[in-house]
Amino acid sequence: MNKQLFRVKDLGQVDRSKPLRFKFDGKFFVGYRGDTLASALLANGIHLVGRSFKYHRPRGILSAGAEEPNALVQVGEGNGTDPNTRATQIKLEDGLIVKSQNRWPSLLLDLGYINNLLHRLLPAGFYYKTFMWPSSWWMRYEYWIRRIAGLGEAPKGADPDRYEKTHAHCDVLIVGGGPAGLSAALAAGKTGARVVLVDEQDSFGGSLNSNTDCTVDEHTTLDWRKRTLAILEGMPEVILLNRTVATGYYDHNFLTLLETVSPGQQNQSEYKTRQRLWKIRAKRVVLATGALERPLVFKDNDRPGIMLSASMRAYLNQYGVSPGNRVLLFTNNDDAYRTAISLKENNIPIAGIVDLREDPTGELVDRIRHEGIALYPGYAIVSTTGHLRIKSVRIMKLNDDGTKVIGNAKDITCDCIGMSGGWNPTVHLFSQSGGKLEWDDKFERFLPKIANQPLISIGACNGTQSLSDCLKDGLKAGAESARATNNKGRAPGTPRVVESKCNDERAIWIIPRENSYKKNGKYFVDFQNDVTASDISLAAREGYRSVEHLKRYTTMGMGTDQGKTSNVTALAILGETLGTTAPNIGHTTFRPPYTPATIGAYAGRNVGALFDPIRTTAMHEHHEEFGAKFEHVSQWMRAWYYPKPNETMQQTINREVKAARDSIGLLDASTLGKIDIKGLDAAEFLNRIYTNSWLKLAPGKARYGLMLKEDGMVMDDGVTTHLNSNHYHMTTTTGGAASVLDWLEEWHQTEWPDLDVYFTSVTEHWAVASICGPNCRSLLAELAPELDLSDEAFPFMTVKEGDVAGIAARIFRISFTGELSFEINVPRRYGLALWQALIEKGEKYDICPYGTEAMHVLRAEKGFIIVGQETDGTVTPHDLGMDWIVSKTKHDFIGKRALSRSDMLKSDRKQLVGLLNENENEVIPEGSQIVEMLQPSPPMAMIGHITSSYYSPNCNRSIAMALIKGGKARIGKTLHIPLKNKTIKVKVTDTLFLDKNKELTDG
Amino acid sequence: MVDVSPNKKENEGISPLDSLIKLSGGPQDGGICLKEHRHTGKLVLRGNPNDSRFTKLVYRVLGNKLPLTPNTFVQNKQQTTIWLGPDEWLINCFPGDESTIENNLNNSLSKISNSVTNVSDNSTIIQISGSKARTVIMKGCSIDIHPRTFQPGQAVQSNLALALIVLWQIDQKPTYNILVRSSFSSYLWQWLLDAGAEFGIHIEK
Repeated sequence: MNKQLFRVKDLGQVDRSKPLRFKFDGKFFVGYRGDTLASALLANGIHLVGRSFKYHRPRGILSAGAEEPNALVQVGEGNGTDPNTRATQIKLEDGLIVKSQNRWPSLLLDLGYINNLLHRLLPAGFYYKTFMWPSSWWMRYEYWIRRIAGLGEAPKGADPDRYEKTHAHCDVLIVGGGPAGLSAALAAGKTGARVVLVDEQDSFGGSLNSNTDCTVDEHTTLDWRKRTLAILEGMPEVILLNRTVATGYYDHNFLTLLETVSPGQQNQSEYKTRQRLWKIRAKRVVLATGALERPLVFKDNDRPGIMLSASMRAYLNQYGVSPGNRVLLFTNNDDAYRTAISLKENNIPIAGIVDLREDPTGELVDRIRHEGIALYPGYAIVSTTGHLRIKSVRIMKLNDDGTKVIGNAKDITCDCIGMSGGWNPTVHLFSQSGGKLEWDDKFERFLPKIANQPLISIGACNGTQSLSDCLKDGLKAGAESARATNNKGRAPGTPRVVESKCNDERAIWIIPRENSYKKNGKYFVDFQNDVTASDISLAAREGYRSVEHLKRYTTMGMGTDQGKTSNVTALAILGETLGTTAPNIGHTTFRPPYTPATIGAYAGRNVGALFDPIRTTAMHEHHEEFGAKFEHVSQWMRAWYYPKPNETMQQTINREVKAARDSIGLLDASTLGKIDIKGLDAAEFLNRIYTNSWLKLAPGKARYGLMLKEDGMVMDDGVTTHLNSNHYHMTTTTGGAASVLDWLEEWHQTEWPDLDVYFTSVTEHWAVASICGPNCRSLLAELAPELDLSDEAFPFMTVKEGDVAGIAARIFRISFTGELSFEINVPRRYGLALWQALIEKGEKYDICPYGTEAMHVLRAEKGFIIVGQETDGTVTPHDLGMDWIVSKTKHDFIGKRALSRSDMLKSDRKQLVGLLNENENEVIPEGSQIVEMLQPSPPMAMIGHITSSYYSPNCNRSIAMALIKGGKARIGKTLHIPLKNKTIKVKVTDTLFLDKNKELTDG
Repeated sequence: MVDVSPNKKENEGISPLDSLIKLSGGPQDGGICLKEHRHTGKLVLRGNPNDSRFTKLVYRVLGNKLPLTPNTFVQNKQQTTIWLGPDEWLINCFPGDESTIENNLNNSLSKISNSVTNVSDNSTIIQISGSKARTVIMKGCSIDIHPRTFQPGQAVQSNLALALIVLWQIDQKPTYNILVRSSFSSYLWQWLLDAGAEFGIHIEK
């Protein structure tokens, strides 16, 4: 089974003592440790790995890296499966299971290939043009389009893998571990700087792994790489991250790195991490991201077996894989000659080199001629044959300006083509960082021009070609970056490099046709999206002249590869069509991530129980034991209601609401915000913050207050108590606790720094049990025998301090239910003990713990508002009928001026009123819209909406509150609530549904 | 009125992590050791550091200078005093000592603008130490705590995962203290257990 017929003996860096079995499309194959999936497939003679997106044409492995547009596979099975993964970057593991994509029923026979035959019906913008009409049919079209769109399959269930996130900081971050990056790391590391070096591939070295035709200081490139890595590994402040993609470059030198943790690197614990997202802040960044080879655009240039020339060299020299049995090279520059020499050295038959250049010269060309390899200078490939694998090509001579082919055609058989159309520097991260690019005319490429952040680009991504220059630039950049971050040291000496020189290239963006009148065949520019040269020309002729429009119209540069091999070529073709040049066209925006990233990595461990913090009170344990149902109030988990067996929710709430008025109800009020306020000017400060008057509140007394924003709208409410001289205890709503503290600090710090006042949050220092109902005074008397609880000694809206159940407590006689009520505050650690004492001693009164839902009903019976329910940021105190709380005599308070604006005085503002419907058992849905004039069907003029609506067991009927235009004037009138299947008739009332004489607070 | 203090039932109170830390133990060599400092006394002191009377009187009570450099703390035998803001400090002391310190500060500062507030139960302190402590904290905290930039004596207010914290370094082991709001403490404890799981965690009672 371990055939690997294309593995070259004793060549490359794979470990031949470690065979690994893997499954591709149901068949088992063997590769070696150190292989990628792509190299292992090629070793087994497999080029065909996928079908193209639109035409379903057979496609082979094009590249050996991140730029791969074709070889996208589905990795793994079940919910851990990963679609659209580049075979060129999948590290081979034993037992790996991989499937090809976008084919049915099989890779060899794909019925979708019919699209290829119908290609004349599927021009650029086909979907836009076709599915425009009739517009009502879109829902039907969409169903089918969605079914045929996409490549791999997303898993259906939750991702079973573990993803980690971590922050990191360093002096120098180096992206790319090729010759430039390694030497930069070496120089920076030697200064003692904190260095992070990342490389997306499994092994560091970049081109050093495949360009083995050079020597560095008399060593092979591989030896130099190995020695350099050994030095770096010995440096305690250098972090080496392989299999790690720098996915995004953001402001302030903040980058994200996505590390794929190899199973081999896993520790022994059961917590195996699949990927780790690094959020790194670097003082200096060195970009050494290399360059990507450009394909050539010729007729049917997408057949399996056609690949990039340098990738072919990488498969040969790094993985020991021969690309085929008869290799043709097609190039516009010298680099493909290096591939030819490597092939020759390993006795792989070469069909020839087709070179677009009329008269190639230089040492590499001389060597090829000397070796007797067939060379076709000034020739181009005009067509290819072979369905599932390239079989032959036809070549012809180019005319002087490269616009036509002339002379006699010649057919050459081959099973593999290595093509090279020049190099595109990998400027993605540089561009993401805000850097400006510049067009280089000589090599027709974009180069980094002006950096916008503390970074430097070196090596091939900066247009540097020779190895010696890459090493030199790397050492210099590493040392300079380290020095710029206060590390001292000099760059090591530049090593001596022996290498062949590469000369010019000849750019011909589209290879001319053999017969200009025969328009068959496809000239692919973007392999992944099946965008051809004629699609681009058509789009340009149809008016899509902007590169961003071109991209969206043709899908050029979209997909998982984001046009890494195609963008620049497409721009050049667009430029030619429009009669201008690539630099005038500009380029599309480079966006993160550089290569596709798993969403799981961005979620990290913020999943399941750790998705969002759940805040609980000191009494939470008891609520759980009591079988409470909980509701989320911001991040708090509050007891909602405490059902007894066989009770419905409504029955529970009715019972709780009744108990609170008939005997004793007990509420955990710990979550309310609490702010300790101290200072000589505390009263003056409160006077400015609240709408009512605070200067004369005596120690020991409490007062309810409303806070407005500057616009006069209600922001928060609560009771604030004057504990003792210049010491106040403020309460806020549960959700408003943090924002109110910020609000106080902001006004103090920015407007009134002269006031002597300090605020300290004590929300969680205190646990609060609130008891209410006619028997609560007796209960408290039992637990606090030393306190005089009589109405005279302890009147409504006052505070006392003393022991309750043996715990030092602050007791507030305040009420949110309108009943006689005490709020007992004890330090959090005693909250549960207090609660248990109340339950125990309250048993004889049938004390009833009630939750937030009963609390809502109880306060609504009394018409008390809840900020955020009766208010929505557009409601004034007057709208709420709370004129009584707005001081008319105070000089100023926040929001005062706004309240006198003309709009605030209008009589048709939405005002809070009560509503009673005819059916006393029916509860109107909250949020329902209210109309004055019923119409047979919408639209109807809406005059308001329901803010609160409950069944009140104490009123023996349903009650509701609503904000209604000119509501006060409508009291006594009848309005309508149209619902989906019926209409409810309601009578407008005031908001006090119970205890009209307000006698209950005294018990 | 007399201010309340929680002293009376010192040993009976419940700390927010009590129900989570039922079991102590775990591997000693894992690289992470966790512990809750239960019921330490905590006071927030506010006042004007430019008023020399204020700083002098505070010095007299605490026995050390108030830290005026942002994000630092000073420690003596009685208490740790952490800079929280230009006019705000957290005093962390032994359980039960807070009322004495509070009274002493109130008495000394009675004629000067200031505020002293007992916040002992507002938050709790989780101690994390061991060779992997820094790695675990870096999983959830964006502050650079590499020894070149963060040392014993330094403190920082930040986020750890999704909780607000105050973090300060005690020693070079390294040992860190994490102050977290009581209601966030069980979330943070579970997060720490999850983040440290790959290394092995020892829990100290």
